[in-house]
Amino acid sequence: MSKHKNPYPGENNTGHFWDDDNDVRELNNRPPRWYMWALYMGAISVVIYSFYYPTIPWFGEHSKGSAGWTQIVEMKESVQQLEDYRQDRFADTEKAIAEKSLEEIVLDDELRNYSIKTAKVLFGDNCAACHGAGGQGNDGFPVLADDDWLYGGTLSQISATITHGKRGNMPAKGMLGNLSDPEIEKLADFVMGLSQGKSDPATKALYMKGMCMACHGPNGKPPAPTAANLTDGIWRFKADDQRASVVRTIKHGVNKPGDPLTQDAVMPAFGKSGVINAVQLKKLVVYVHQLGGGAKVIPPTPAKFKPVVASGSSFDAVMSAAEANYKKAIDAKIAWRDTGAMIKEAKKLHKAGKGDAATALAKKANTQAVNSLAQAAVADFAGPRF
Amino acid sequence: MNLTERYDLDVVKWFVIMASVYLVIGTTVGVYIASELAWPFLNDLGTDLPYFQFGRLRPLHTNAVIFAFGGSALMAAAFYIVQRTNQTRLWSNKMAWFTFWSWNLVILLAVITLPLGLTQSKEYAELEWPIDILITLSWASYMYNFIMTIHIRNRDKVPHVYVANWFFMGMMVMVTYLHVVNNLSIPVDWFKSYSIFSGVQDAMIQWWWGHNAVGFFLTAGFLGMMYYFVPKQAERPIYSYRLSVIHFWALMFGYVWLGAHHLQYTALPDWAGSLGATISLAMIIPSWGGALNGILTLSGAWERLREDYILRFLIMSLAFYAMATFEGPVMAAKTVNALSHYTDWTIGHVHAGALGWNIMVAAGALYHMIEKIYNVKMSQKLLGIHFWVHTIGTVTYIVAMWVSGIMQGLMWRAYDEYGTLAYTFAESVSAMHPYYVMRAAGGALVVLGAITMLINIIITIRKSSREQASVQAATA
Repeated sequence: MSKHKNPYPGENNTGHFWDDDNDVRELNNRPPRWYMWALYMGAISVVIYSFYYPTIPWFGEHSKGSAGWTQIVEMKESVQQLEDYRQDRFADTEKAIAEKSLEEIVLDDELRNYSIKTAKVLFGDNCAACHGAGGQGNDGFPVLADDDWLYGGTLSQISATITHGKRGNMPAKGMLGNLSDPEIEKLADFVMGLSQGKSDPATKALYMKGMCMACHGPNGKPPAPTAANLTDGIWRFKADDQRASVVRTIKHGVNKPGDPLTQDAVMPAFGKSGVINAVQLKKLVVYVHQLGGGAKVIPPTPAKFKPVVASGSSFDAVMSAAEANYKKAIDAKIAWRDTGAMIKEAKKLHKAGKGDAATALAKKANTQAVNSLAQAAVADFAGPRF
Repeated sequence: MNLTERYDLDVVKWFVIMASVYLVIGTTVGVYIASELAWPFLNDLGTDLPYFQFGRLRPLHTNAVIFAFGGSALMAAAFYIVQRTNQTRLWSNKMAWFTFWSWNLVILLAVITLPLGLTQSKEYAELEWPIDILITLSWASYMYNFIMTIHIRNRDKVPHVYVANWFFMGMMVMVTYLHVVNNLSIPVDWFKSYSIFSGVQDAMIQWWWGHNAVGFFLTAGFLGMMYYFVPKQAERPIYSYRLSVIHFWALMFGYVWLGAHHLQYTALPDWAGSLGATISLAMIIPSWGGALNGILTLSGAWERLREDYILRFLIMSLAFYAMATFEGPVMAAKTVNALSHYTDWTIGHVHAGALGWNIMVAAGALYHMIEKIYNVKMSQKLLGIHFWVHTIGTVTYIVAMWVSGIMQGLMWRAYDEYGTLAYTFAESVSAMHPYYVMRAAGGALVVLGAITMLINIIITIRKSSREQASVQAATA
């Protein structure tokens, strides 16, 4: 200020001084020219950007921008780009997967490989959080890479599980809820023994009292899928202290409402969630199936064995067909019990001269053998055999 | 008459000490949560307790560094600068102490409530409503005292208000307004409230606050520090008065528009996102005004950097400031944002500003104030160690997050030859591991630097009080 003597004369300062020593001051320099130009450019860029993109709100509406850009358009365009890419290269493959059965996909090398490759990230993003990146499972979540299936390891069973999800259910303290705490401790020892191939007859009474066999089978092997196999040492609720986990499971059950200590066993219905579509579901089934434990897929080829013989065939022709098919059924370990007896009986009748009856019975035996073979083709999808 | 007799500097001194204490605490928590990301077992160390998990400690880290450290540094600097540049004592020393105690009470309450999980779930505004009210009172006392001190200045000696004070005032007014509006909520009990805004409006208000916590608290306020301590430490006049006027008003008018760029590609209307992005781009040059004015102030005195570590802190901070204020607008541009959003790049950007700009300029300011208040030279050796350890730590941190962030963004959008996603999310997480380790190492260096600063300040204060005692003994 003019009132004060400028302590820094000839410095081109503004004449304002601060601080005790009056040493804080400002120069009269103009901002650098490039700086001012850049500042104006910034203002101009606001105008350009505002014309280009939707930017200015106006009475409940807004300017649309010359680019026609909206985030939805941008998203749709990039999705379309991807769709076009897939359409160009894999339209046929995708269509085949959509149309063919899971068995056909698995048995076709190209479709199977394509499904596995394209399902890797689907599995990683949807399944791996619980079941592990390689299907190796986690504490409290089932392993998918072994052949111990709770709900069956055939293609159709895996598909059903992914589509509809699963919700485990086991009553607390035995089926009737009538097991006392000391009994549960003993029963846990029994169950631990089962997994080591032991079956202590003294405590088996508790297994019966708890009616555990209703689901887990008389010896810890369930007669049907949906209950855990207690004899194989693969634990559904794996823990460092496995016995404590078994006690907890028996005491608090699985998914028992209102019990905070109950074991949780819930898998979401991914097929119904909208997260994956029908084709992706199929790919995932194939992916999970090949992780290590999927039940073997037998080619559905009924033409390989002799068909039911034509009417009017001779007894010998009918009998040779029946014997040949029966032998195949025996080899496949799927023969029905009474087919052999029928063949014997038919031969007896033939010897006794009752030709018509003998031929009719031989025909029936052949039909049974053919049916049993047809059953063999799908038996692997019918769930684990015990 | 020396400075301590002439001005109310006790409260400044304590804010300086607390700022350096909170810097150690805040960065230590930061390194711990960075380590939790690299080694997840650290989240509970097998205890299953929620208190030290990432989600609980992360707001504690941000609140500790921004509001505990940053706030204390700002209050120390503002109370120091306003007295010296207006050549008057504080309007009320008592009120300044109220600000000190209430602000520290807020921090104490944050330390208790955040690990307990009591939060409004608003970023940088996590604290629940009773604490928000306390913040408002504390902040209002800070602002009122500051403005009144300018008001009662000796207008004969100091007819004009110095530019540093403009920036502090701008920050105070805007932060009051942002803090109050963003925290408007309906309490249901002492520990729980619901925002009065809902849906995308709530998100927009939140980021209007969120970005301006950066824009005003961490930029305008810290520019106030820069405008005083750089010319003072460099013993040079500010390069251009006109430039400071231009970029002051450009910052004040521009910053409040930017929040929307945090919400691009969300439910926020397209126009709001574009508006945030375009103003962001236009803000590069106004932001650079401060850096330019600071750096040009030094022109002709560059040789001073050779021996003056405090000045090095101040100038290095301006370099990081210029870099971060360029990076931010680039990240706000739609095409870049589509890649960078939700990645570690954002974390890297924030820390370029926080570690490179805020901590460095504040360290320069705190060191300067200690030297002036105690009228001593600090240990140059420790200053040098702090400067280099901190600079290397900052660069390590930023580079780690750049690489990991851009890699993350690219992995998320990568497609394989089948036209399906090439990587699972978990694969992108595991790819981050080496960079998370690197980030934790960079952060550890920053902590080391902060400890060096605290030690240096304690040594200086003890040495000076010993000297004073001996001077008194000699005169008695």
